[in-house]
Amino acid sequence: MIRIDNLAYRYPGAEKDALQINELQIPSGKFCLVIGESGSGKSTLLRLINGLVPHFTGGTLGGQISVTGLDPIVSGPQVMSRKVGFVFQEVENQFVVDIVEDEIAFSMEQAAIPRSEMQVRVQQILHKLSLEHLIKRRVDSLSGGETQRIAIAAALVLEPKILVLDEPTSQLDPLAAEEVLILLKQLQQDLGLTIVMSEQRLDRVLAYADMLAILSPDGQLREVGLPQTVIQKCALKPPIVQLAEKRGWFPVPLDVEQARKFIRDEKFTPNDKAQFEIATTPLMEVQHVHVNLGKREVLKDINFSLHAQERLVLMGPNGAGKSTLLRTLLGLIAPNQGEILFKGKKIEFQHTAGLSQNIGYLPQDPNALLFSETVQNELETTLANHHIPIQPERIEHLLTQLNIQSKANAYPRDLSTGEKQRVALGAVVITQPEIIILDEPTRGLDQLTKNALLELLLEWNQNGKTILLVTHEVEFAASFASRILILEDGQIVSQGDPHRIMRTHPRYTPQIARLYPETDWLTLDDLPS
Amino acid sequence: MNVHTYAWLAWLISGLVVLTTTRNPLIILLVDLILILFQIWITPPSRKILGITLRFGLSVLALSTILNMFISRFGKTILFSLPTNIPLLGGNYTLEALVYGLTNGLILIGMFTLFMILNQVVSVHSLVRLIPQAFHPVAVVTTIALTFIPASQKQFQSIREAQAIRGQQLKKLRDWLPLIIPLLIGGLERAMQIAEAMTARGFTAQSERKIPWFEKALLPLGLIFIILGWILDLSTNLPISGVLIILLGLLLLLVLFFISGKRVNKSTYALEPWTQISTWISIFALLLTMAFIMNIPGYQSLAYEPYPTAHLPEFSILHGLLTLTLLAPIFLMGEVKHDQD
Repeated sequence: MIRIDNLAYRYPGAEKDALQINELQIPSGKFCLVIGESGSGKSTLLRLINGLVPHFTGGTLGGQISVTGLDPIVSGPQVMSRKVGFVFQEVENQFVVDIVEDEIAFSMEQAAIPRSEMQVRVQQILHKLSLEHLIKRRVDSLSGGETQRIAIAAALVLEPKILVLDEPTSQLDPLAAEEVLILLKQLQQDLGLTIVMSEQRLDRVLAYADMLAILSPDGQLREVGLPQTVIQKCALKPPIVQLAEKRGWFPVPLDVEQARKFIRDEKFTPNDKAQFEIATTPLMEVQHVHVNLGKREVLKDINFSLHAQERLVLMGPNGAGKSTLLRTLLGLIAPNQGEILFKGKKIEFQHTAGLSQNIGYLPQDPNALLFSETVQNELETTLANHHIPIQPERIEHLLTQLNIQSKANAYPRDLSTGEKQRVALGAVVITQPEIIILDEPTRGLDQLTKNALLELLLEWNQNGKTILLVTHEVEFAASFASRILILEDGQIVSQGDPHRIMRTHPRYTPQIARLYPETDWLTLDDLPS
Repeated sequence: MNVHTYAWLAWLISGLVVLTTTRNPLIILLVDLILILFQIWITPPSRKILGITLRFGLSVLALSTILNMFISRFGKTILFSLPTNIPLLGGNYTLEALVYGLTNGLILIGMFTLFMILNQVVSVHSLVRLIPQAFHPVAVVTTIALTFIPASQKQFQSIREAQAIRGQQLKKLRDWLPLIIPLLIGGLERAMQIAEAMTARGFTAQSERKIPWFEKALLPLGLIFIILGWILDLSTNLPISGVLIILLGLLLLLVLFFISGKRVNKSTYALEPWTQISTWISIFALLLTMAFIMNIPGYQSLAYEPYPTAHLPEFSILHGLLTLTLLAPIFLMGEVKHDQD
């Protein structure tokens, strides 16, 4: 179905190749997962399959590529759109029109398919994906999972043989991500689709793949083959694979279901359950807060405290109100009812700019913060905003902590996703706030960068910082949280000890906890050596 | 009941014809009242449109009247005078200039309300769909631009918040820089992403077929005929009618659009049904338009001129009654469904 030989591709003006593939074959009907660090060329490889690279990007290309018998370089993206459906990473940015049915019909209009056939196909694809109820909805009113499924429907409506997806679950909560993956597997089986997908969250995706391809940081195809074999040569292993390696399980299990047979005869002594303790000094208190956005009540009677030196993780499905809650804590949204106290004082009487000196907030999109000419300037700007004298040694120390000291004079927007994230983090914590609030800080980061972020946050917490973060990443939350708060439909449905909370809510249970349900283990570090 | 976009356009045109062909303040006032009533009917009560419209209307009336009284010092009925040694302001202020300014204000209110109503009853996408097939890329780009506006507003809000929580305050012009730069760069990045997504879904702005020579010649020929006809029309002594040559030029351009449209190999998903109401609205619109451009009884009363001495305008009952047909959609459509906020 897809065959690549001796391929080398270089972006215009680049000094080295972004992608080098000696040989890659993806047979018809297979689900191929492409993994690698940020900047390893995953997206470039996916865009080669439908000819977007080099037709859209320019650059120099050598070697051969054949997709369903066509050369995408010769045929171009317009012809390839009939053979290859493509779902982009930031799905909301790929929508052209505002109503679901018009959006799905867009590619058919370009292919000059008669109206009557278009109407039949729109109905069919929505029925197949169980999305009929969304036909007249505005695309900007859809939830994260619905948006992703509509994007898949739009990509499949031309009945392509291949579906390419660029990190389709990166913005989804665990349940929505699971639903999308089940749907893909079902489509693969029902339609005989060949699926090529890149993804960072291996713990949730690996078991669905028939093939795994690893790209090295310099863009070379390092390994390709069966997931069980290839994953062992990968540095980015999910917890269950790491455990299998430790215990010598073979064949390597790719998910919890496959791992269960290995622990049937395993004898282990559960650790004594540690008493869950909570710090006594509340830094921030949220009392009976209600927030309405338009006519919708987004937050309903929210009650909780954030204690000094705590690591509180806020989890919940897409659209539960997590980001709204964070914005309310910073005074960006005024509650309709209730009060928020910071160190005993109501925040409604404090200016957001002043409040932010003590509460650092990193929004979901770090690009919203970055505008200066250099990384150093970016940090200096925050200090200047707060009328704090610029101390070069303080900036240098923070840049070193963030591991971006070598980028001090670089233009922030030219950096990689992980580096941009760290610059933005630097820009909000340079004032040395007591509380750091982060909204989905792991979004778009590869596993290595996530691990580095985790270590940095734990170190800051050890040094006295109180951290509140929102994440969909169960494994990250399990490694970080000292307390977990679950928000669903604008209400707190559960809060407390991560060991208890993550077990009682199956969608937030990490792999190790699912494998050993009778223990209180959450991560590999909890396992007895 | 649905009303076709073409029927709404016919309704709009008839309203515009009324507002541009008459300067009779009584007729224009009647049109404004009808349109304000229409707007109240189609707007959800929660938006309190009457108050907004009245505030806007009074501001426009005051501004246009005062401005005209300052600019125009003609007319025989002097209301008051300022000493002539005051630069710009000195001189007579007349009733005629006041009436003329008020009429201008009424026309502006009418036009604004007309477009406000159209904006509420017809989605912009329905209007974009009317763009001829020959301009398919223009239609797609317009559609994207329309979806881009709310996305940019959303992005601006998140940037403003992100900058506010790092202590940034908007005091000087320079303080806007942290908002503008991320917005511009983010907008460009999003534009690139949409362009890429469209390319991946088969969109192309260029036709695969070559343009034949005669098609290439149609545009310059059409334009030459229009310009030539216009010049001939100005030279009144020539035996050839300039209007005919202008029409020939326009015909050539129409042929060009038709042929170019056929060459665009695209299809359209949405089909707007033509309903019986659409027929009635179009008929009423045609009647109203004809009444205001044809010399029927009462036609002379439309041309009201307050200068040099202001007098009471005549009122043609026939034209007044026909103006009421602007309300036809209300009676034909019955109940209106207000969108959820």
